Amino acid sequence: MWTVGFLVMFFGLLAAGMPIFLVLGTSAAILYFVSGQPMIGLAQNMIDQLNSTTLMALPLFVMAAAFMRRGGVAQALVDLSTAWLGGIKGSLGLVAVVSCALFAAISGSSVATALAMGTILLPAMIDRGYPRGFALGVIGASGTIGVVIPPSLALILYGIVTEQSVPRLFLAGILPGLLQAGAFFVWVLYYARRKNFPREPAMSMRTRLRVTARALPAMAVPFVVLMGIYGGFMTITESAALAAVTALLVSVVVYRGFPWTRTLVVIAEALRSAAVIMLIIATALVFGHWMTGSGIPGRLVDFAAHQGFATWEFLLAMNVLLLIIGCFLEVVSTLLLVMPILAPALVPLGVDPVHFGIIFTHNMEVGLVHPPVGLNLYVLSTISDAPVGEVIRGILPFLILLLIVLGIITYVPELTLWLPRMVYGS
Amino acid sequence: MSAPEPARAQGSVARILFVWGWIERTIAGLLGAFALVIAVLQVFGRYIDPERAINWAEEVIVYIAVWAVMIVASELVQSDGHVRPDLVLRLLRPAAQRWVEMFNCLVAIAFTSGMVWYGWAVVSTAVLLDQRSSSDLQFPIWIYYTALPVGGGLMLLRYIIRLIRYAFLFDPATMTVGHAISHEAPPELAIPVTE
Repeated sequence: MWTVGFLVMFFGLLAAGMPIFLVLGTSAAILYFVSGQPMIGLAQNMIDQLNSTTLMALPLFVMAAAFMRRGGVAQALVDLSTAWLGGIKGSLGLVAVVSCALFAAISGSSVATALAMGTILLPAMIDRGYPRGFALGVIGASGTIGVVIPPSLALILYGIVTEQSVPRLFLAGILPGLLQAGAFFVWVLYYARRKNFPREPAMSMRTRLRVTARALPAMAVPFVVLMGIYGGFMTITESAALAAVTALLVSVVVYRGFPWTRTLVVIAEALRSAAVIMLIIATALVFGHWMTGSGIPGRLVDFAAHQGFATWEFLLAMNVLLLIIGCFLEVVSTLLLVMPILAPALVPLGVDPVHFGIIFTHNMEVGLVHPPVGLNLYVLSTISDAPVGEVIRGILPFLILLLIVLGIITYVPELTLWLPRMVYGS
Repeated sequence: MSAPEPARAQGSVARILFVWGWIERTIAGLLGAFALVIAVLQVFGRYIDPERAINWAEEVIVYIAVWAVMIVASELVQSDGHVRPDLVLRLLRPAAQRWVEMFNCLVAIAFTSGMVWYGWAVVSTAVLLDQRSSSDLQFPIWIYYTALPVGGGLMLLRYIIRLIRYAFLFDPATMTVGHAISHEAPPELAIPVTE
């Protein structure tokens, strides 16, 4: 009975528009109180959960993303894609898909991508006569590619919570990310033909090469990260720090996106963003800790084992569950809420945790763009002054594509596991 | 002629809030920059002079970053930067939004008070037992733990101010969803949406 009461309260607080960290923190406090555990344990737990070196990759990657966003990197990537795709009908739509995928790979954050690309591409697309809804849709949806393409914050968090190798997860994300970008690309190509969208003037080969050379330094960041991690020189956190420093140098020295004197301001801005996530992490891990202690995950495994669930049935059920949770909770909270419960159940049910990581993060991408709490929807609505409803309508075709890709990722594990197995063996 | 009393009073309050937020952001920026420097020293130090290379960089980065996060969390309350699903809130009339926001503030005040009270208990326990980190650094862990009550305390003050604003200085034009409080800040300080 009181479980129902608890759920009503939990979703009531969310509906009241309370910050997520407060919802999770208050819920955890109530659970502690009801189960008679001392409150000091909650405080101790909260601060101890943050004491994790892997977790520190997060603020550092967010810093790298902030430097990138301010530093003219986005513009360089947009120029690069426009140079090569200009002559095609609806080219700005294609430019959005490609440059979002590139920027996502560099910054590791979907929301940063939507923000950076939205501020550049949205005015440009509206200027050229694209319907605003379509422009919002393609930018918002393409921004989600960042969730799976490495270096990805979501995969780092997944790795922390489920104790999986982050480099392995990064490799696993590459092909699904490309599949998604490809699906969007083909759809924009088709839609642009049907709606007769404008094309941009084609550029000479000389201009193309010049623009490409200018975009190369931007690619230094994922290069540093991947070399650092796969070359075995650095931990994830160290490579995140180096990515941030590289991003800073590239932005300030190469692109002159902001003067040296602004560095502290940009770092502070990045830490604000990181603080939002880390407070949620702290409270969610406390909440998850209570969950684990309550024995609910164990019962879940027993239940699933006794029902004789086939692996595909389990995966289908998980996808439906995650999509439903994604309607109410934001990405990081979902991960931190669900994974501590699910992680012990994966291997007994015949699911590869790395494969599940990609299914999970792809689910989160869907969650980023579907109502009511898809963060990208709000980011785009904020930077464009368009009502959220218009963003949602624009994003709908991409949402359907995302769901199709999700089906493929779920039921073709080779797509995910082939690359990490080739590099690390099985 | 000078501005009428209440307006002037509000002006100075706004200035205090502005300076307060600026201090928090600046401290966070300095801490973040410091963390970056330490990380780079560790990575390159290992190759340049392995003998004297530091091995506690990541540990110190944790302490610095968590302190920065806890300090800047308060500024996020002021600018309405904490992620929250506001779809239901948007459907409400301003008067109803006001009541819901006041309720949210009260819950937040309770929670952040808990952060201060129990956070302080955690700190005093660590001081009493003289807990140290397990690395070479032997860092006194209470310094790290203090971030919790300090962060909670700063947020508590912000939520009290927020509650007072919604209770006594409510302005439907600027304080309902869609007109975030952050929009009152000077444009050059416009804060981008959170990640």
